[in-house]
Amino acid sequence: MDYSGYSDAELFGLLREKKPIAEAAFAELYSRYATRIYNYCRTILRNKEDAEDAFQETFAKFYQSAQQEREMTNLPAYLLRIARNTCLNMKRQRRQEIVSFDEEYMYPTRDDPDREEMLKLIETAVELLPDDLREIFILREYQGYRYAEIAQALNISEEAARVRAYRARKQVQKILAPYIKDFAQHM
Amino acid sequence: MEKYSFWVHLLLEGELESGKEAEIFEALAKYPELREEFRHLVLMNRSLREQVVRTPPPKLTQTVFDRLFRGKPSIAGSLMTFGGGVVVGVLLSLAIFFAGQWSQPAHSPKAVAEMPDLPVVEFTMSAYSQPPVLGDTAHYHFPVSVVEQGSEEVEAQEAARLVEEGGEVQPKVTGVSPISVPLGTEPLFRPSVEPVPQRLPALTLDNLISPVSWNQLQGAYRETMTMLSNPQIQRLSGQLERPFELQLGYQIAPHHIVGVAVGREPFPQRFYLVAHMETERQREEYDVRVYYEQVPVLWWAGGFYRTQWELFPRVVPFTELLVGGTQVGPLFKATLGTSLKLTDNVALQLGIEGSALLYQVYEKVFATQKLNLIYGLKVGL
Repeated sequence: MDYSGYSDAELFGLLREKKPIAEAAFAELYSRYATRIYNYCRTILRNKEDAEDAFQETFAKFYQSAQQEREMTNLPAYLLRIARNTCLNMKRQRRQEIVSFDEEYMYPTRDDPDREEMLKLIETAVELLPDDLREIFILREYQGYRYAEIAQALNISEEAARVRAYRARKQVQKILAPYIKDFAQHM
Repeated sequence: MEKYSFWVHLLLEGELESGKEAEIFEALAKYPELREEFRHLVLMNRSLREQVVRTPPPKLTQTVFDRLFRGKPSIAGSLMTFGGGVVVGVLLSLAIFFAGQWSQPAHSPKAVAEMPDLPVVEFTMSAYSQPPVLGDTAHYHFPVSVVEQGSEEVEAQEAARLVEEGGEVQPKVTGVSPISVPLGTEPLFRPSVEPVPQRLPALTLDNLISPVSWNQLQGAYRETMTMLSNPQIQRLSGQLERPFELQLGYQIAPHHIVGVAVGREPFPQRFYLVAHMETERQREEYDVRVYYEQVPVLWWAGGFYRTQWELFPRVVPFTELLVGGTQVGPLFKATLGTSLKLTDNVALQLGIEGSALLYQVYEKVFATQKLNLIYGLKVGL
């Protein structure tokens, strides 16, 4: 069964059907959004094992929630909200523990060492942002979510999302100020 | 101005209203700081666009589908996996332990997580390195055993006495006096007051290994090993170079040497800046003190003064003061050490060196203090 032409809302409705249909619909939704959710979990949790747990949990909750009839207007934002809550809960649980960071996440291999270092700098600067700004920055800059999706996932207005993203970028830029000039000259 | 700054961000996101484009371009032409912000944002955006996007691993995808549509894995399978993992883990741990490689990686994120509750940004992971140094000049005193002979008059009397007794005339050794000769200023094997006797000195171990001469101009190569550092930054690069120093010195008086030195070594730095937001209200909410950590490997050069004295034969303690500079700020070093002579022109040096590097970041001055172990070789030139 090819569900690639179906809308998100139609596929969401099919999740309540019999198992083969539900599985095919789920597979189509998974192919559309799994990468974004996976990257979101990796970015937020920064630990591969935790991120994979959160990722699994997100899709499990999503599937369970689909068993109850509900109107689905913005599925990516809905999935993101589930992922966000799952990751935040996991972070709260881990807060007291010393979590080993995923080196491969922190410093993934890239061909261009300058750009790699620039990304590394941005990633470390993002870690210094207050939670609300960091979240917006990750969603917007790393995950590429639209402001409408971010607004719905975070339950804020689009304008508020836009302003927070601006503040986040501004703050990152200031944190990197001592180094960014050098990079600007090299790149 | 903040309005234009916000507009620049919207412009780069393609969300600036079309009517405002002309105004923002005018503002960009007018304000250099706005243009700089624009350039920096372009740079950041370009880097962010090139970030690695990860797809979920196939195994994870399989797990999700198994969990939702095919039930959970069996307990037996889990136990087998768990048991196999334990066995492999134990074997691997034992292998590593017995191979003597059980160590915490220097570049440990855990180490950063355990640091005090401060935001930390680490930007530079430079190598640990250094090249050779001139400079360790030392004025050695070597004990020399010299055979003293009696005067000609004494010898003549002794010879006459021997002849009378029917014996054979032999030169008489009247004594052996250990003396210390400051190398480089006095010829070796010569008593300091009396003329050199026309006899070879006694064959002793000292004579065999002592140099015949020692130039006042001397050079040295030595390396350093950091024992303590403030700031202490544990996350050093895995590629460590050897910190080194080259010295060239000249003995201006029996116990005093001056010279120049050049070296290269890492200086852990930890400084902070405050990233301010634009308005007072935003500052209260979002200002953050950002700590930067880096370990640049710097070239340095300077002049030194050393004083030394002979404590034991072949052992010459010294103290040394150095004032120099790096590309980031002035450098001060003080060393307490000793030289141990090995061969004619070569001596081993060991010591403890304290150093302080001052550097300025914007209007603030920060310092790096280190305590190093130094070791190296000195040669006469």
